[in-house]
Amino acid sequence: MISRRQVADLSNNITAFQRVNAQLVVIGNGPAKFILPFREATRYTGPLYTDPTLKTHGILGFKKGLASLVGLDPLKAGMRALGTGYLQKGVQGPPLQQGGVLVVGPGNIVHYVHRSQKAGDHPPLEEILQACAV
Amino acid sequence: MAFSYNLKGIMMHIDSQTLKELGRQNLVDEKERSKRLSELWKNKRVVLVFIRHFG
Repeated sequence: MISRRQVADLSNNITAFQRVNAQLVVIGNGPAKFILPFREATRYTGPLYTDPTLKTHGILGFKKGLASLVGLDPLKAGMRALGTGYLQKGVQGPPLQQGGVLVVGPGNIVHYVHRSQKAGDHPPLEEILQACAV
Repeated sequence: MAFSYNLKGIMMHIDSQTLKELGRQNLVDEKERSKRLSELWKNKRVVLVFIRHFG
C-alpha cells in the first residue's frame, strides 16, 4: 500500500519534475507481469521498469530485513495509505526489500540519494525537486 | 565524482564506481523489453524512484 500511495503522489507531481527538467522513472522489483496492474492502480503512465534480479537494490545498498519493517513509522504510514484507499493486495516483490530515490544525470553525475530506512520512509517531494534544480 | 551528504545522521553516499556498476544493470518493462540503466540518464536528468514492491 505504501508504494502505490508513493507513486500516485509522485504521479500527481509529474509537471513539477518537468519544470526542473527532470524525468520521473519508477523501478520496482517484482516480476514484469505486476507492472500493468500497478499502472492501473496508481494511474502512473510514465517510465516504469522492474529489476526482478534485485541487483540494483544490492548495488545501492538498500536495506533488507525485518528490522527495517517494524516500528511505529511504517505502521503510521500504512494507516495513512489505508485511509486514502491504497490497500495493499498481497505483496508483489520481496516483502523485506526497502527502496530509495536517486537523482542522476545528464551523464554519470549523482545529485541526490535517499535510502529508505524503513517502510514508509520517503523523502519529501520538495527535497527531491531542490536536488533537481541544482 | 563522489557524492555524499548527511541526513538525520545517516550517511548517504554513492561513489563513481558504484554509479557505473549501477548503470551497467538491465531493467525490464511490462513487455519484457530490456533497458540498460545508464541509457536513462545519458542525455537527461532522471529521478529514479526504487519502490519496495508493486503491491
